[in-house]
Amino acid sequence: MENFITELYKKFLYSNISHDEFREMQHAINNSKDTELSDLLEEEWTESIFPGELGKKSKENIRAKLDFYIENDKKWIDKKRILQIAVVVIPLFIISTLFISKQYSIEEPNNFVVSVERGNKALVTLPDQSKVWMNSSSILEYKRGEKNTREVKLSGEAFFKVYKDKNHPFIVSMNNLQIEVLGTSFNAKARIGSDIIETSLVEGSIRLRSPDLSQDYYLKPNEKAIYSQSSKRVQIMHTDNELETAWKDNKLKFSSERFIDVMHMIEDWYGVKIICKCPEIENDLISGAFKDENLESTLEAIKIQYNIHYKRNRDTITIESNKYEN
Amino acid sequence: METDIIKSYIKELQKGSHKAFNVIYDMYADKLYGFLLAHTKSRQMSEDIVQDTFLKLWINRKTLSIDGSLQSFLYTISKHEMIDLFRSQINKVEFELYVEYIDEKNFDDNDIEKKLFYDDFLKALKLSKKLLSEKQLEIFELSKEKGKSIEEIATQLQISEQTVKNQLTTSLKKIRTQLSNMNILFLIIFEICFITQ
Repeated sequence: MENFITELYKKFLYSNISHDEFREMQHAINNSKDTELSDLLEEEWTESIFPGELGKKSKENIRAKLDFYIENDKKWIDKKRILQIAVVVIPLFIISTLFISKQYSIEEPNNFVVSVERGNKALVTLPDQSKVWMNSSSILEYKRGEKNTREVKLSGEAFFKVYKDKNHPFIVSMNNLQIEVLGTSFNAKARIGSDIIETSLVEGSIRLRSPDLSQDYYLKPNEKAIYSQSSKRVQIMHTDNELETAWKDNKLKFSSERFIDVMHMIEDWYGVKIICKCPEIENDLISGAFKDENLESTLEAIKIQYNIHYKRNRDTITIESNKYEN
Repeated sequence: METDIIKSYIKELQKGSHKAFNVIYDMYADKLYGFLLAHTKSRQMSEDIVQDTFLKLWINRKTLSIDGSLQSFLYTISKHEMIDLFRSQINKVEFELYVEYIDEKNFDDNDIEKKLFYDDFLKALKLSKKLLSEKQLEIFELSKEKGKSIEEIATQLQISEQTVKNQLTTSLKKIRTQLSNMNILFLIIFEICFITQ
């Protein structure tokens, strides 16, 4: 950071800055990167002590809020263990509703975790009456915030039907990305290990934000936002919600998806492992729709259409292509 | 610079000791608050971030290194939030009005008004906005508080962009004049805040 900017910045910190100098500093800061700014601030943080005391009242106020959180958190750590064991082995394709508060006799739980294993799905009703359809291999953490905000953390895929309560925003966090909603339905996906976080809106409106994004994004119905965590970019496009949310109605649907991606979908869907010995067709785009089909008939259909053959050994399926045979 | 005592608090904190957390809060809360206040000039915002930072300290207590510095850890966990806030704060039109006001008044260092915070200034600004016509106020708020562009406001209110610009200029002029005449009022507001605290 250039010297004169540091000078202006210090003047600003001690409120000795003129209006013109302020504009100069503002301009310089708007043109600096976060890393430069971080160095500037860190130096001050390490070197200087600024006047200003919290004041007894504010200090104790904040302490009380922190205490409240920490005590709840500590209680929760114990409950979480029990719940994690208790919750959820849901038979394949049977979606059941969990009224968690009743079933596990914990009074109005402020926090809980639902995890759905591979090949399973679950429908969860949250204490605020919002409904969440969870796709396979997904984990949902629910937290009732301090001002009664409704906060969930999602890893995996889920469809949310959020109970309308305009005074208490409902926030879905997926890694560093937050979706804020009032009352609406939308699909959200953040698969473990994937760079991409997706969300598509069915009705209402939602806001996306992240400390990594310079602005908030708003979605309209039938739009889908794709957020890349590595490039920190959001792309918004039109989408077909029928396709996006088919999974929650037990429909395995894909349209012009890469063969290999579809195989991953099938792995998750049926909870099996697929080994693809077919590099030459991995990138072919394929489409299809299956409802309530078992694994065999799904594979048979793909086999006939795409000229593959497969071997099944319990939960492992090996696929080979016939493309270059004959 | 951190002594063995602090190290032992860090150890306890990692194990989930609420007591150690409280000691650390007592050690760093004021320093953090002063630092934030220097950047935001707002008591409320600074308090909020103090709370957030210590909450993050609790949540991330397990990633804290015993040999590292607690002071830099506190900075690391909240730097993104601080930088974002600092950036957005200095780019607010109301904030620039605040800087301008402080500058024009040219307080000397001992002057009590020197300590006028942004929070109090906003209250005064609210009063001076009463001078605006209904339309001017609507445009002013859409622009300055909701962050809409001139183009967006023109579309929303179905008026020309030039009209939006003119109205904004007039509003700003009115507010500036009013603020510079509000010296005494400020003192009163300031004292009310000060005494009732």
